[in-house]
Amino acid sequence: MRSYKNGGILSRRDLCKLGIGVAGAAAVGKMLATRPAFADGLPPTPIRFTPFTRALPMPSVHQPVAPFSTDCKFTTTATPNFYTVHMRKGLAEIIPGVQTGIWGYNGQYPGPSFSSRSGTPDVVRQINELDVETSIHFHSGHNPSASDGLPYADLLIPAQVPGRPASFRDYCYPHQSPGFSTGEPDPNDNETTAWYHDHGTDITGLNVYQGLAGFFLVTDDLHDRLIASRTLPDPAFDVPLVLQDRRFNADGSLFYNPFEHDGFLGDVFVANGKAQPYFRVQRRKYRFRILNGANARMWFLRLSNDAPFLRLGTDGWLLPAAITQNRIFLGMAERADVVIDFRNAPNTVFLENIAVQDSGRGPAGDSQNPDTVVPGTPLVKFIVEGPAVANDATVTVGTLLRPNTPIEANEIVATRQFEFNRSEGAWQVNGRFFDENRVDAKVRKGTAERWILKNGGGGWWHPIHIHLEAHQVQRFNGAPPAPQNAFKKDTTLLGPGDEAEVFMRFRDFGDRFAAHCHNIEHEDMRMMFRFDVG
Amino acid sequence: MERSHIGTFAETVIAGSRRRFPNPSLTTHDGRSVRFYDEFVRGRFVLINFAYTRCEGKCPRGLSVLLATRNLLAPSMGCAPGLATLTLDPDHDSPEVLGRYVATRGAPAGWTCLTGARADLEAIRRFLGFVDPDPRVDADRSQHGSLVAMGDDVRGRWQVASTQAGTRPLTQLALRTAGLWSARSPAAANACTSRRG
Repeated sequence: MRSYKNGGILSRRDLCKLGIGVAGAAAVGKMLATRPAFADGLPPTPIRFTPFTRALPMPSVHQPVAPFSTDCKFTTTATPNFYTVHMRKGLAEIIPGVQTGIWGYNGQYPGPSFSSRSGTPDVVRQINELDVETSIHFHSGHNPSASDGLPYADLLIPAQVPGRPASFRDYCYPHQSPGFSTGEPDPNDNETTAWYHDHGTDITGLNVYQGLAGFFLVTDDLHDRLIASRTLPDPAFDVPLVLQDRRFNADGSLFYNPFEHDGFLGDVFVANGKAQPYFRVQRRKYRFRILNGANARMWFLRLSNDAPFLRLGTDGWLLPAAITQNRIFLGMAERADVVIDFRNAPNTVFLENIAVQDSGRGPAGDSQNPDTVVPGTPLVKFIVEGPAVANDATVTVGTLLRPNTPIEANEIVATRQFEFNRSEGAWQVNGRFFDENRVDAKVRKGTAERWILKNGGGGWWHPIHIHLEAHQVQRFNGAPPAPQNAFKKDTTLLGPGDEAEVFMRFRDFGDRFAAHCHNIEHEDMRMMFRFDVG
Repeated sequence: MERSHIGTFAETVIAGSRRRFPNPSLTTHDGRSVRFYDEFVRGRFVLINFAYTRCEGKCPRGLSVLLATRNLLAPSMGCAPGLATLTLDPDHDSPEVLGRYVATRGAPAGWTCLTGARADLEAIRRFLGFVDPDPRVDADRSQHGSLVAMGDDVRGRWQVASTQAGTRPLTQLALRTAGLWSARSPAAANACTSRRG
């Protein structure tokens, strides 16, 4: 473990660790322009600000609209909810006092959250008013290929001719439990904390960076019961929290470098679209749906008072029972559904990032023993107020949440290996670049397979996301996976030298799907493969 | 966006941000001295790759893919877009050597091989991110012969891909980069000539 030493000349990064932020360093700000923060050699954000002067924003929630004519067809008789979403440019105050142009769902950054219910389909009309092609992926969703938001199929191209309507597409989300098509729906596989984000071919990195991402929160009877029984915190104390990093030009616009192929890092740390915000909390339990929405940055999260996180879920799904974790490591696209108990907290608590990462290659150390800096960079300041509340949520270590239906070894009909490697400056799977016209794996619908996900080496980190269904990690580097990763995942982080053995079912939907690295710059340089289910 | 020379750099806009694109003086395979950005990038759509004449295997294969990609782009773009190939071996690849190299491939119009001062070529390579963070790997020039950068300077959009991805994916990527998503796209007959000075 590396300890932080506050001595000598402070770099911008050092200042961030002190919670001063770029702007708070005004007194020593002249150093900033001459001390590039990262190995990429790009200039640091030249805007200074005082952190923790803006409140953590809550993403707005999409509201249903009147039904419209659509080609969406569902096998359920439930009445769908209809939504329209306009992908358009907007302005956001990310750094206090600075207006920044973004691309957002309904012009908002982060995008509004969907609040959906299992069993009730959604029809989402996505309208592209941007001048870049898009595709909208429902990450953790179990959806037909045509509505999965694949990176290559049916791109939403911009309006080409002035006066013509913008292109749109209706995404049809059945929200039916996996297995429904064969009369064996398994509500244990219902997702809870999903998200939606852009997946445009080769340009996902820029599109997501500009703001095209939001939460997709789904509830069902079991989840409702956990809330109604006060096992889990009331929705008023259930906070979606997306962590990202951004870099800025002097005029406040976002800086992105399409030539940073290793993975683009920002130097301003953003929570729910706000740079280093504060959040006023009562002395009670709060639930946070933490999403790593960064392109290439991994977070190793810790609370400054050393209090543990109560882990409820991983990626899209609740765990069978709550577990405790003192620190949480999140690769890109991974989620941690947690409870933080502020009842006995001091008046100020920081959510800190203690990972050490200077380049898109990944953090220092390895996935089992990453290097740390303590105290870390404060991301969110919790201002804890009032006395401990009575009748708080009861969830604690061991509280039963959602049962897991294991995929058994005797279900496995095939084993495949996918090795993720760098080749001459670009990114491959099994020695090949993604080609949307090539089927890399053909899977029989209704079966289960064993996939070996292997890091091809070179010290690179690759979070591997598989579309369509959750996968279940059986072994990680030959050993049982960590408890939080031992059930359902949709993104499995491979650090240097790591190898994961996962089981996965392929139910309900045929046609084409994709799997890829979620370091988005790697993905954009084709570290992806197509698998067809049929 | 107004563009101006700043020494051996030219100001341009990439992905919405002002950037200083290397604009050194280089020599073409037919002996002309040109400013790189001004000649090949400014106001145009362009393909840029690195290679060297003594490279066997990946460089010739990559060039074959790029030359074929240009031909596939021609109907949509109204021309075969420019391809600038910069040498990774300037000590050996003189203009004369490059000229003979181009001739062996029929010297297609719009394809230019360039040499120059090593530092100038390196500046462009690093700007485009054709770099490996491992110094030992980075020092192996054969590692940099597969990538292609494609950019539309007017739109400020750039993409980088491996030529190993193949002709068809590269063609599709180039069309998207140039904003040619469909038959409804605005005519792009000017893609090969400067659309903005």
